[in-house]
Amino acid sequence: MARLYEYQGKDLLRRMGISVPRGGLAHSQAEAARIAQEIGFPVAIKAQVLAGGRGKAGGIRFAATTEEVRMAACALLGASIHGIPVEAILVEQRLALQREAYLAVTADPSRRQPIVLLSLHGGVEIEETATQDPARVFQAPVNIREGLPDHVARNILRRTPGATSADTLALAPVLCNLYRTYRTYDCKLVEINPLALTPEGPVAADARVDIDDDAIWRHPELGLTPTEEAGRAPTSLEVIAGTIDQDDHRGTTHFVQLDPDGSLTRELGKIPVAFDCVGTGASLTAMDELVPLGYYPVNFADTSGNPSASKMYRITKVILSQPHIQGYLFVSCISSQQLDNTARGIVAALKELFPATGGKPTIPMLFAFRGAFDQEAIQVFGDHGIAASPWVRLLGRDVDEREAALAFRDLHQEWRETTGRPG
Amino acid sequence: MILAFEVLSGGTLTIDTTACPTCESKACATVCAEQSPGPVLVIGQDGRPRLKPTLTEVKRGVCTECLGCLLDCEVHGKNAVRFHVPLPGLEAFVASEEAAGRVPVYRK
Repeated sequence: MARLYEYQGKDLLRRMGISVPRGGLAHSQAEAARIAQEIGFPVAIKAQVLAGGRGKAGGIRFAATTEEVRMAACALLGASIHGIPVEAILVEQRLALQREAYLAVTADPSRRQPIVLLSLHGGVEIEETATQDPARVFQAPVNIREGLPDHVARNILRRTPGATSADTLALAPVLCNLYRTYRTYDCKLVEINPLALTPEGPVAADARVDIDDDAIWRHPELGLTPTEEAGRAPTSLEVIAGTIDQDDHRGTTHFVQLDPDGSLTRELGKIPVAFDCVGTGASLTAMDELVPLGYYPVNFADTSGNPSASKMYRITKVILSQPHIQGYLFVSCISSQQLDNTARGIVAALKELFPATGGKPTIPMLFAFRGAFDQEAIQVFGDHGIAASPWVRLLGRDVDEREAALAFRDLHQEWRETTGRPG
Repeated sequence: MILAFEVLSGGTLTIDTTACPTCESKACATVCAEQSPGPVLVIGQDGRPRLKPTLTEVKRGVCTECLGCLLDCEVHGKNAVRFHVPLPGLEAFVASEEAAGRVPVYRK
């Protein structure tokens, strides 16, 4: 899913007729001060990171003067919220809240239809409210054919615990426009928490908008990059990997860097390895087996759904472009994927990346082909001479994830002893 | 003589068919015939590969991009097939990483 930053989400809501605070995005103290002076004081300064619990982590400040804005901007820009660096801040008017409400539209898989979530007790504690007193978060499924016209929104609000007639009149248009946003932009979730009930009417004090990954191409106007949700801005390699599925929907190539700069691996005292799997379950199992052996997968990758060899060729190039790696594992789950095509893509990439050796890698690589055409896949490596590499191990369907991880450890140790490379 | 065609991913397959009449294996067509939904490359009367479907059909995805022609021609044929598929930004990324001292393993 593609999660929008708060400022992007608010821009979307504003376009769809929902009031949002006046403000602007700043990347420097001077820019923040200029925006604050334009909109007038007091202002809120909010770190733009894709993480929850931002307020509690000190990511939201308030300021009544230009100097306070500068100080808040200085404190936030470059700081880290839940491990995510703050590169931009939203400076916007501070709202005079009378009450806080919660409004959301999302998909309910059990009902197979959209659902409206609504509470007159919104705010940062909404999750606790939902847990401790579920009745205070009202749920109403929406008939997707009927949509959410004004009379349906009013009926929902009439049934919402604690909603007055005035609330119904004020919130019905917001609910209609929120649902319109959800449908227009193919959202998985559109949430306002809190919706500030002010003397001037309801205003979205925050916004969370998650767009369905598969619908990003329908909305070029949003300027989104099709990368995996990682709770942070995508890395360059993730953006590059995201283009692979752009025009070709035969199979998928999911790629997320788990430790882009290698710092976590160093901190843990592990050995960084690149990773690719067919199937997320096999991927997680193989990762679980690797870590206790002293290795750390610096990326997650899932190339399943029978991707073309052309896709495998590209994603392998991306995976092997990660710096610091001391090995590479490919593990397929037992699936119907045509693994000889998978192997051709990998072999084509290896031959291009290691031309001096005819595709034989200079770091240990283990390939566990398990599933349809697995013998043919191993044969492809043999046909191209890569199977003869001292640093390549090819395994078949008779091994499990643990055995694959152990075989990789043995191979890596042999490589380290032979080459004298530090482990 | 060059045979070139675009495929669904945005890539282009190019075959220099100059040496193909003397190729005994015809490996490109052999491997292609094994692919579903049937061969894209067939051998013409002049001994050179040609497209069986139209360029439009190939571009729409009839070619499964198995890369069999590329690899098998290299090993069993005349090494006449080239495949170029865009991966925007990768070269620039690698160059910037190298400049910062983070060299990918395949460039060491």
